[in-house]
Amino acid sequence: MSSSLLKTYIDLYQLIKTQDQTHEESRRFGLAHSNLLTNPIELLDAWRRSQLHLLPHPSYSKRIEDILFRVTTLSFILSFLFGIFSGMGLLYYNGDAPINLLYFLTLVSFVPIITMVFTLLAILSANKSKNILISISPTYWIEKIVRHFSTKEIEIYYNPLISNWLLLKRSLLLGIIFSFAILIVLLVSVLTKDIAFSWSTTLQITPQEFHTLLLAIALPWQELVPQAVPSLELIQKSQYFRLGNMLNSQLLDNTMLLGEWWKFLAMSTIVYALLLRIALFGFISWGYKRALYHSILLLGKDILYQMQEPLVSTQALTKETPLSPSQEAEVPTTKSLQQSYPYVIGWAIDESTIQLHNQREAIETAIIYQAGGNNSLEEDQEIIDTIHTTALLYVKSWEPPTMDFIDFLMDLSSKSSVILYPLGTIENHYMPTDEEFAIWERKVSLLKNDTIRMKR
Amino acid sequence: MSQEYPRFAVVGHPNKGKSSIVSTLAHDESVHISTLPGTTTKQRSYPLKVDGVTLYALYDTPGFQRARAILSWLKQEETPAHKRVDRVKKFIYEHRDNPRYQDEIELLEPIINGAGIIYVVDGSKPYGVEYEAEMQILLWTGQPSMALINLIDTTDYVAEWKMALGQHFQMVRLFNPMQANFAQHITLLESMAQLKEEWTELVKESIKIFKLYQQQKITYSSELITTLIIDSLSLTLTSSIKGTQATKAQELQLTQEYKQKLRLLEEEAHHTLAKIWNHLLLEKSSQLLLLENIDLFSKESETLFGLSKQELIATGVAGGALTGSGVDLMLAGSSLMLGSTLGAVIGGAGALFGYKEVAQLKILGHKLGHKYIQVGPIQHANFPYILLKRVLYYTQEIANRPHANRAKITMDSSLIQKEFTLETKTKKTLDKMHILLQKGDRPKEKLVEEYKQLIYQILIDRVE
Repeated sequence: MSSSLLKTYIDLYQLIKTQDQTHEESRRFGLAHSNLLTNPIELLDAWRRSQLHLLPHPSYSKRIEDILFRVTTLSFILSFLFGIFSGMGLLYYNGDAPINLLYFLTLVSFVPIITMVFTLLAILSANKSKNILISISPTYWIEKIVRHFSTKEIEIYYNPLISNWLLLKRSLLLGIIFSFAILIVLLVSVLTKDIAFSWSTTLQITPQEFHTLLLAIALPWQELVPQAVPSLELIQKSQYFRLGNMLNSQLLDNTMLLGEWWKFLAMSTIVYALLLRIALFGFISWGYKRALYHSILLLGKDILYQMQEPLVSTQALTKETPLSPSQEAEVPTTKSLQQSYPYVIGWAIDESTIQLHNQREAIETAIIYQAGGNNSLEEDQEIIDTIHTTALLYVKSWEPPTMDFIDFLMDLSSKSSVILYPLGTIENHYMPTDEEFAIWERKVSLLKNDTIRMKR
Repeated sequence: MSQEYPRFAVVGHPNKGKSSIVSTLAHDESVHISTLPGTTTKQRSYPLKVDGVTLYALYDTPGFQRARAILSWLKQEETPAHKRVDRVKKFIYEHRDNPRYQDEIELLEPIINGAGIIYVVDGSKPYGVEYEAEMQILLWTGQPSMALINLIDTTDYVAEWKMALGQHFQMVRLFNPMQANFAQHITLLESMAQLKEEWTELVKESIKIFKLYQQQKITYSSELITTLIIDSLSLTLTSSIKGTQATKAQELQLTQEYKQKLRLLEEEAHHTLAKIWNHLLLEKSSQLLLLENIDLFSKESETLFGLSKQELIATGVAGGALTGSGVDLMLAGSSLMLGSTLGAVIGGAGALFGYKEVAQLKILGHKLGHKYIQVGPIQHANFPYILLKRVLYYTQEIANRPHANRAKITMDSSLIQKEFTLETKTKKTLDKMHILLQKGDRPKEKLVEEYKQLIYQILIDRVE
């Protein structure tokens, strides 16, 4: 992956929130990068890179990285300075009295162990949005303050999964820098001053007990650097009792020996304050990376689905241009029929049905014709040729007029006047529905032929 | 001319529902459907494409207008059966520029180019001899064919239609494009697969794709519904308080904005659902999401660096305890953890009593604290179900609605709540997330996934 996972996550977040990616676009990208289909993170990153030009400048990732950089730099400087000053304070030596090594030891071995225990506990609940253990961290507060005074409005959804791991990671780094600064101060002090260390406590701790404790502390390096393991003799000789302003004579006798403590203190710093923290830092970095992977996959789930799912389309590729309705003219209608017509024609209607309708309407007629239907065009023409006066033309109202019928009607109307009678179905008592009648009326109106009237 | 995928031309008499059938089969609401005959004037292709590859295509065509004239022309010459298709081709070739036969040329062209025939009739109207010329022309093309009886109305003339159509077509099926559900669509495709041996595999593949397509749409819908529920139930609106407390007007305005935002979320979700199911043009007659009798939870609060008072106290306690534990350690435990306890008490008390004072502090002109009024999340226990049932009902309606059916969707809230019942077991799982969201907590990804699956299952059961 060419850029940091955090940048990928933030860019993806912004792209998904602002870009309306269609399934078609996503799938096209997926097919073009089919070699990455099995590696979703790489696929999402490739998609992110292809879309970067769509992001406004500066992008969220740039702005957030700027904030993180500021926070990190500030934290590191403060931490380093704090480490230097703490080291200088703890190792302050003016020659009047030896330095009580217990303070230093506490800071470089016990405090790191405690903070690391807290860190481990925080890791257990790192995926929760409200994590009190994380909010104890100084980095959390520095970040809060920077964000509070930040003029730029970062609207990114603050994913706890990422931010918690990020805070843990940086808190640990802060501890490492702090300890590193202390180690530097220790080494510089040893190099430039003749420091005398001692140990002193009000508690009733015997040198033997203290020796046992220190041996336990020195366990990790006792084989590797035995000279950095304090002996019982050193412990006995460096116990310090303040009696008024006087130093006990034992101390004064062994001043050369008291400087030996620095090796133990340096190793304690290296092992507990640095190495253990570095190991934990490695673990947290892995957890952070995993959290980022997880968040990226979660964020890009829909797009990945679209990239992997076949694109199905069923719609027409072209736009339809339906026929626009023509200008209609009025059609003369008649409500009543004459008692007799010389010709009664049924369009695709058999003779018995024509007779039925004649009886129903009490119409007398001499000649009945069947036109349309199975007739040939020549047969229809013969019918037209015989007609000279008004003809009553039955049609099925439910069958819309085709051009075949219109051809016949036009020819017929050129020879005689026509009464067009749309018949309904038997279920409708032979009455056309309004919709059916309107269809016929509209079609006939377009003919603009005065010789045609419709029976309503 | 030779295209490998099967094609089907939907043909027939004018105004018998050809476009409706195409609209439903192609899931395309853009097909113009009219009660007026003759509105389709050009053939139009509706391909089923998967990643750009066409599996089959449907053709909507104009209706027959001068069938007898064409049949008469075809019969002018004695033509043996195996040459009849050439005769039809000749007709098209010779009359391509003749406006009299434009409709027939538009409808015959895809058939001559190898499309199977889907001949549509209206089974609610009596059979008529005028159809016979059309059926004979189609026979002359020699292409595989099936007849679809479309019941436009309630009357039933199916039996006589079946008798007549059975003599001209390989198979006759009933299909109502205004009511057909997904299963009926698939059944029809299965019949189409049988029309020609060479097409069987591809049409069966198309059936698989249609099923996948349906699943995709249900998946998208369940994701969308889950997002709507999460966004709506966790919705809060805040407004800074300038003085000591919020005014009535400020509270009222924020409440109105909140209601609007909730309705907007619902409306946007419905719109996206319509887009998923290709029903964007479908109108909806809907009552607004009723929020009048629902108490919109509102409170006044204060934050310090984004932490609430409770969070700050907890942080103070933990921080104090940590500091105190350092002292305990330095005393090798002889302090009996007094350092940790005292540290916790001091840290907690400091946060408790110092919270207001620190919040009022100004650094570089910025107040450290922030006082605000908040509306939401809605605490009403039934609100999630009101919202959920509405969106589920809407999804069910558009998912089951054939694309030929353009009638408005009516969303009667009381009817929806009454008709849409959920099983107790389902409700329990849904409640888990509703409660969490209403408390203002963000649900775990696993729970969201579980919720989505439930919605998916509900939709699978309700989308036919």
